[in-house]
Amino acid sequence: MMAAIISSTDVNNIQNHNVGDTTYMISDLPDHILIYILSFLPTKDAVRTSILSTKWRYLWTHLSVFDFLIPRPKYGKNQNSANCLLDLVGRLLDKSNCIERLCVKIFGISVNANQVSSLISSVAKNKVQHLHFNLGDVTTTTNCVLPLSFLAFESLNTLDLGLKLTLHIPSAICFSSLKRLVLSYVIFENENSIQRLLSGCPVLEELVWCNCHFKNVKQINVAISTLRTLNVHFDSSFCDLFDNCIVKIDAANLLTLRCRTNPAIQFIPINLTSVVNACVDLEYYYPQGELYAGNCAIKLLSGISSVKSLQLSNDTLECLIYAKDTLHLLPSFHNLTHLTVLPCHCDATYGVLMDFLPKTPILEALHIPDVVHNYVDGEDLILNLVPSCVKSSLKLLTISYFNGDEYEIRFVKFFLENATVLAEIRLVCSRHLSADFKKLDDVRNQLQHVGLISCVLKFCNTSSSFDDYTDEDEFWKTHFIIA
Amino acid sequence: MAAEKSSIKIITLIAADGSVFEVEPNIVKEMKTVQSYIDELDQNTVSIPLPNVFGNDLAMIIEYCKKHASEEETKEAKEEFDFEFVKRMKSDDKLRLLQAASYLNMESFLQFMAKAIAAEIENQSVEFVRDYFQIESDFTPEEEAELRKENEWAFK
Repeated sequence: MMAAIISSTDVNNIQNHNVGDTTYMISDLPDHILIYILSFLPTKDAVRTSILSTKWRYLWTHLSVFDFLIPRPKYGKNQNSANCLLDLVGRLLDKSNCIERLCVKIFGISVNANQVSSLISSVAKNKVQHLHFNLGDVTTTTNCVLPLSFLAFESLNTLDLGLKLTLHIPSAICFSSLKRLVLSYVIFENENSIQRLLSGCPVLEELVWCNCHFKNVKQINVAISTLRTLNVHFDSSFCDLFDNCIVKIDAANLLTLRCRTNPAIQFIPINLTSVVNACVDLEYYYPQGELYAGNCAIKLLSGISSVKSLQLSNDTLECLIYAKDTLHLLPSFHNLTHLTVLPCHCDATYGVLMDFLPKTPILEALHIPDVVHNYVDGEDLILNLVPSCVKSSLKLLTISYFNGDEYEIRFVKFFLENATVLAEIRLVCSRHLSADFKKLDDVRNQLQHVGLISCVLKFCNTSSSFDDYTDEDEFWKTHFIIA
Repeated sequence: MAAEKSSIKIITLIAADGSVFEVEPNIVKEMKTVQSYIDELDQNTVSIPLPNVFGNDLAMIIEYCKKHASEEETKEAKEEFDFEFVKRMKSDDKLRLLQAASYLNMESFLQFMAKAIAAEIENQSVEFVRDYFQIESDFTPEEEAELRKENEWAFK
């Protein structure tokens, strides 16, 4: 960027330059320097400079990065403000030919579909590399046919579309440089439409589908060898909008897979042996029942047995209960070192966790939301049922909700007694336990002299929030109340 | 050629007001305009006139370059220096230094100044920014109102 701004100075200029007056005329700063200053301002501030004087009027349109945002209005909806902004963006697109990144986000106000269509046409004429359109509430669900010029969009690197529009994808589509594709709320008419889009992205590395509307779509094949990240996220209310849909994933170089949907979308892994991180959250409230959901989960998990780090929702664990007869089909997760159980939407009454742990022979860190009554039944506490990872590899156990009740203490004791290499247990105390010092003291006494002396027990208040810390370990260094 | 260049011990910079600064070669590396001048000369001692930079400004630029060229200073110490450096400047100092940085072709110092100026005008009124850059509006009130309406999004 700088290279273009500073023209190389001819050495002779140094001597020939005329100082003239001793005072600088600041308003004579050259345009490219002024544009350079504007590039460090938020888009809103940069656009405001248009009314400083005629010299400044179009300076901001020479910038290469634009972020236009209308946040969700607190009260009332100003329809006009959305139209006005889209007009502004339209004029910018007509004027500029150096936009690298364009981001338009309008929340809570409906925008006109035709206006969006025409913007997409204009964008295609520019050599935009990163395009983000988040216009969640497009009024009419009129069809938006991608304009001809959009079909071969060579410069495009990132495409993030969040709009309730039906996209018609013609067969000639080709995004030859597209690395990242994020689609939210977009409506696809049929299978061909989706397949054409996917095959038009030959170097895609990241694909995100969030609450898209698949109409009449029975099967989607995601077969992209360059894909590194796949994220499919559907809220249950969206899954009701379409019939069962099978997503076959054939991505030999995929590293990260996140599936958070209900099993109306059934995932069939074909070649996913390279996946390192995975998150699986299949809700089990579904007309076809828990057994179906459990089998869906087993099918998906079987395909990603190479993972090192796995997040499983409690719901998914729960539905494995119903597939207990087929649980033996689940392969061993021979690389898995980190397992996190995500909290579920319902009260858990069963726990299948202890049936899952034998499948994870080298697990080092286990993070669970809370202790379920029957995780360790009295009878099960005999040594020969202790999963091998607990005996030989588990180093860290974290429980995000700990109330100090008898069954919880029994659970922690189980680990203290059986996990020979356990180095640390982290317990996030419930509000009740945090306030009750006597109980807390009692809990500590009960746990202090059990089993391993080398294991550090850390308690922390619920009030101290994880959210402020990007690194969980850092959080635990500063916030535990008893070490 | 390389041997000759490395033999240069001191570079003399002469500012617009005639004040003279003697600096070591590593200090002017960031000033690409000066560096390319040195590269084209076959002399051992170099004296370079900089008719577009005033003495006070040149002194500040050299101070900045010295601090940033130093290998002993930590990253934190340099950041602390930058913070104080900007703090003691008035807005027209910044604009003059920006112009000097552009003339001397100093990439990182130019960025430093541009960011400092942007931080000052961010979130400020149109009147403030006009004043800052000493701009006289040449729009009629009607034209200005029209523009405000067109770019309404930016004025909320």
